[in-house]
Amino acid sequence: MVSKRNFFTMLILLLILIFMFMFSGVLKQELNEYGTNSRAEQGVERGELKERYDVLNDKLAKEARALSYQRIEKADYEEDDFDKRVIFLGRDNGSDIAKVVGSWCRYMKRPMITYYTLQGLTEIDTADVPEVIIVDGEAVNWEKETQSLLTLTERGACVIFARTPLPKELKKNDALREMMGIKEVYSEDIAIDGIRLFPEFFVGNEEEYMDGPGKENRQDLDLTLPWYVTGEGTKIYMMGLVQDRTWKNESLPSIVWRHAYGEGKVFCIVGDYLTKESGIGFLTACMGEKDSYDIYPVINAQNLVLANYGGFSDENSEILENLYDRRQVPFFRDVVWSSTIAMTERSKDKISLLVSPQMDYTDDIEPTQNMLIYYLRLLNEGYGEAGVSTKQTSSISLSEKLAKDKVYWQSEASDYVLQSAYLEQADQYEEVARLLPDVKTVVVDKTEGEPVSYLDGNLTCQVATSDAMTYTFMDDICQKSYETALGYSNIVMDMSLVSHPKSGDYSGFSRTTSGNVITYWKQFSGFAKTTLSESDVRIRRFFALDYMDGRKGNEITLHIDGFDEQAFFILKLNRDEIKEVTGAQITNLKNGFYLLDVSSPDVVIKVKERTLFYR
Amino acid sequence: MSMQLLTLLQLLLIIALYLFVIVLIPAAVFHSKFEDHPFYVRYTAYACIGNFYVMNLVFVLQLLHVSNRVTLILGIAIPALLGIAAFHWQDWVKSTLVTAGETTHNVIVNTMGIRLFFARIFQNLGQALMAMFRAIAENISNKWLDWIGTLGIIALVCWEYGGNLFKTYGYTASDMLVHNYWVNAMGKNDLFVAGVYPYGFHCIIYFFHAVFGIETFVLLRLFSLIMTFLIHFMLLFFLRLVCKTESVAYIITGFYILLNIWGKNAYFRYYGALPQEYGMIFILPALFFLILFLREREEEHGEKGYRTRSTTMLKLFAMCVAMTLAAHFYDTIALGIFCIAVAIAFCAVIFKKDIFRRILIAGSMGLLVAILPMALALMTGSKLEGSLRWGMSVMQGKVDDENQSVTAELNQSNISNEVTPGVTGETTSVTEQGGSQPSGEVTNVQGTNNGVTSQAQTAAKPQKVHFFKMLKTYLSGYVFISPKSSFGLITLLLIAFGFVVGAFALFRGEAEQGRVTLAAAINLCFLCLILMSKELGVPALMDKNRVSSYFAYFLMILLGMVIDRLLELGMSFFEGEVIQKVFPVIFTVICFVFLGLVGWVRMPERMEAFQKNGAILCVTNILRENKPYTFNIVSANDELRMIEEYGYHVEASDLLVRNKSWNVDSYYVIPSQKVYVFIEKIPSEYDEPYEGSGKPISRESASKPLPTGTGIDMYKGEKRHVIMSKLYYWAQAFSKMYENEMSVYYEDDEFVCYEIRQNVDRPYDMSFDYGYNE
Repeated sequence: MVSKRNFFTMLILLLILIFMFMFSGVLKQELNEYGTNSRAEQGVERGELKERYDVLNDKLAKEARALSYQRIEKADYEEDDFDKRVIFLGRDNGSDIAKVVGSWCRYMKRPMITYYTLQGLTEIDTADVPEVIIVDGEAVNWEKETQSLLTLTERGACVIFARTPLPKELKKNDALREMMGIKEVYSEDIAIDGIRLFPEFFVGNEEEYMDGPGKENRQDLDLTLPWYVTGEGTKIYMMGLVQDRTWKNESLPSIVWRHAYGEGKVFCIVGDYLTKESGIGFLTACMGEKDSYDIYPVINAQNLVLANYGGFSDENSEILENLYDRRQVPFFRDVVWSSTIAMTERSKDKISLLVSPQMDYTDDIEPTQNMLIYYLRLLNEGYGEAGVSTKQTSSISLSEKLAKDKVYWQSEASDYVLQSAYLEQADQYEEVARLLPDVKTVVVDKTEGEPVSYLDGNLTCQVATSDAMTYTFMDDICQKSYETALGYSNIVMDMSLVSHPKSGDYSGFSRTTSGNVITYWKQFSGFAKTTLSESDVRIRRFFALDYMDGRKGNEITLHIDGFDEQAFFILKLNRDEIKEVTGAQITNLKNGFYLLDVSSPDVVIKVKERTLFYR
Repeated sequence: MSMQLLTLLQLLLIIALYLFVIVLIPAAVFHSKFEDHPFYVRYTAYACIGNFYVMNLVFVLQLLHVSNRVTLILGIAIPALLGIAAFHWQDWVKSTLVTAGETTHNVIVNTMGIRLFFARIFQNLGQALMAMFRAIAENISNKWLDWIGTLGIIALVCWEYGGNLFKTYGYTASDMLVHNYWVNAMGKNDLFVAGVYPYGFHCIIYFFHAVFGIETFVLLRLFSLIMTFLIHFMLLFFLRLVCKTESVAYIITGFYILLNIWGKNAYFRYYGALPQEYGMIFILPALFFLILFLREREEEHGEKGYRTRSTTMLKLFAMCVAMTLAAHFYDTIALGIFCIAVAIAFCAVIFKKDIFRRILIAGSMGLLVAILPMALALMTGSKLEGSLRWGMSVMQGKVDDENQSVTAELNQSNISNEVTPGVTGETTSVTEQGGSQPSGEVTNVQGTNNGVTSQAQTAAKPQKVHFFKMLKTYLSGYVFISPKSSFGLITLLLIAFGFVVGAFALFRGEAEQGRVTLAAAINLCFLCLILMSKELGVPALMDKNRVSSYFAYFLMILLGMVIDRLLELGMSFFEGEVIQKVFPVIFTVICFVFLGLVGWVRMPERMEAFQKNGAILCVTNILRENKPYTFNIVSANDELRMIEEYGYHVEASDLLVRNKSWNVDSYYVIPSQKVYVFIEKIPSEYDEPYEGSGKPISRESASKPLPTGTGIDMYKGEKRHVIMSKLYYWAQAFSKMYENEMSVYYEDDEFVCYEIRQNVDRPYDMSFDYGYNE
């Protein structure tokens, strides 16, 4: 027999337990403001940021134009811009390399001046020698330019060979070879077996890009390269690998290296890495290795975009039922979403869900009621964000599609502010901006253009840096390059491949994408995980700021112009350790890289003085 | 943490561990055997047993090639536990085990709670501690004069010899690097790595390194103070044994430490941990136990058999004989000479069949135990180590071990210049392979030359001089502070007076005191003969400079005996217990006050080391900061052996030779994550003074051709200056190319250490044109 006292005790305990479990569920349900986009920040003056960017861009262009005249007098220009100017030595201002250098200069807030010859520059004072000369080695008349470059380097200029001169040119040009630290041109064109990337050059892990267990189907690097053997005074960042282990490491081909020459430093990059936009990281990395420290602005945003996300209507359900025994809506709800969440739980990514309520607007299948609410609720719990996608399989106009989507949005979540959109084609942005005026940023597939930029009007464009379906060796180099230069990645997974599969099944898609995202982005875990709207704000702030830095003894100072609440910088320290930072919070990204979360326009970083434990 | 504090902590740790292993463990085992004896006998016995056991344990394990931390610990722990059980089974071991068993049973069957169990343990521990403190307090109150005296001697040794350890971090003798190498080799069970040599000292150092993980170079840096303590304690204990007036032992030991009359030969070697000084610890204990044996034997009245109390003393005598030979041949020679003196003085006692046979057997056994490992090694094909051949050649007169100055002194009737001998060491040099080789030259230990003048070299032709005048000059020059002083004459007079005092004591019926006094005087006569061996045309058993340290040490025994006899004689005129007790104390105080007033107190000296303080500081920090074998040190070969078990070393000369042969195609790498470059901005002259000694490195010096040679010879005198100058400019040029990758790790006025960080998969080319390649 249970006594009354015990009975009531048990009853109260049961009630408490039921209340505790139910209450949290009820609270979640009732307090979830899924109908509004919490990412639509109040107080972020996007227009103002754009204006500041325009002013800064104009100033840099003006400075560049002014500086490009041969009459160089420091007093005429803003000292910082004068010191930060980048000389590009090449044949064509519109070449791929010139474009990459141009993008890099824009991101680094440096005026870029293109020269076709350096001969006039050798007359300037040593103090006015440009800090950086970026050279397209294949586009220079070396008979004329060698001496000028030698003179400037000896006097302290930093030369970056965005592309090394042709091997036959180097073979006959001893002085140039000596300047570049090349001991021998072993071969003009030889196939190697892989490439080794050493740490401290890029953010992220060191890598060996060579076929081997677990690296199947990842090799896509151009392994036919000239074989340069470098000598004393060089530091190697990337080197070629051969299967033949009898080669000593010092004889293996150097691919990216630094050489000290005179008072200056020479960086050489063999291959076409700088012909693509991802080459900006190489330039940043070279600058980071030039002095005892380097500090530069970054975006600090890691996006995971699920573009063309279906699961709202039962389109294409015959095929899906054949494959998965489920129609589209339950399949996306029960399988796709679950596996996606499992992935993001491990990768800590925030989801930017760019939905496609329908792909085919000509069939009679309409989106299911409450599905959007269901997803918005889940997104709100998981710190994600929703947006729109422009992709469709039917042939109605974009405006029609967007209008139909709008109706669905209105019926499900009328107060939700849509700030991000996926564009199937980059030129759709104008129509999107017109029909969806709240959209602030658009995402496009991988292209050769700048990874982040302003489109006309007040839209930012974020280019996919990866589709997560493949992660080749070249993808890794590009990703490291982007992360080093911008602290930015934008994984755009095309979910229409799931709702409208062309080949394979979802398990393969899920395994590949999850594996890639979880494995290869782990090395960049120091950067912030963002949604598209969040990264949009960071991009705008990144574009709007200008900065000055300097070092006096153990103190590095940073001053930011155009600072707006928050900014991010990467600090690269080559021989010091940080003691104290004021005006920013710091995250160690390893290998000498630190991420500064700046909260004040003036930042002071004190580095440790070398003290021994036993003195 | 300051290096001084670290040194202090390391020193305290080494002393504590040494006392634990060498004194406390034997004390725990053999306490019952010596409990009737006074403290100084007990301590000496335990120390001898401990040293002997550890030394021979290491020898056995090394010869079996199974020496490592585990075997060494087991080799100590098992016999110690068995010994404790065997000697104290009935006393307390059995009862303790029974109690422990019962308590455990009670805990298991739950008749005793855990709380009570621990309460009992703590209660017992507390009681044991209280008993110990009570015993100490009682001992202090009973023997406060002894405590004051002993603490006074400890303080004086610390003051005189300890301070240098905190000012000079490097090795104060050149051959310590070789000893370091030999000890390192023992870590690979490679005994006698450079040839057969008395390894007793090395066994002790190796033991503490292997068991407790203390770096060998730290032990070698600091062990000298422990040795110096022991040497002085043995003098103190010996005098306590043979003198009737207790305070004489303290006066004499104090005088030995403080008197400002000694030449540097007499004491400078106490600043370094060297085998000879380690063996010196056991010379007086051997005589100590020999005298105790004679005493005990006399009390046994010819008792037959060997299970007698006197046999224990004889065993300890044998151990001491073994340890002198195991540590250094010179110590055995010095002991042998003293034993002969004792035999002469004690002839009436010793040359009885029963006693003489026992002593002979014990001595022979001792020698056999020490010779056995060396003989085994020789039989298995090892050769004699270079310095032994040097020792032999000194004996054969092939190497002139004396300074010319003394000869010059004898060649002139009017001594106008100060003539003092330099101090010679063994002719060992670290070779490139790390071995030692006889170089045929006599190496002066830095800072020990007392001012040998060139006058000696001008002496054209040796002339005949009076024997005693020559002896007096030798004594003054080698043992005492100056050849011009009259200490030589005073010493000769003291020896003569010693004979008189000894004879008088015998006449008064104080047989043992008289004989010891005579033995001390005879022993000094023998040492005088060794000093004069060349002039007498007899083989020199020892290098004269080494004789001087023994001479000074043994002279104090004669002085002690003479003072003791005189005090005894003086006090015999007074009656009353108070005067008998108080007078020696007053006399002691007067002696030390007098010493202070007349200014005969030797102030502590700063001995120069062969390595810069900065270098040792950097080695200490580098070992702390880096994982084993992830770094290289580029330096002269001083650090080679210090870091051998922890990292890699590249000789500066190797680096410079690779740079000398630099051409466009050459490539030289030092493949480790970190490379430390040690540069002496003011290079040590390393025992080879030259024109411009003590000057900073210079471009002029760097322009000179790279010296040639091997081993440490490459880094002596001006050669070192040239190498350091070149290395400095090499580092400057490297730093220009790799300003981010190379930084100053440490710098002071005399030394700089650079740190190079590199990628081991693609290390930097360390050969290049730095401007002084040729």
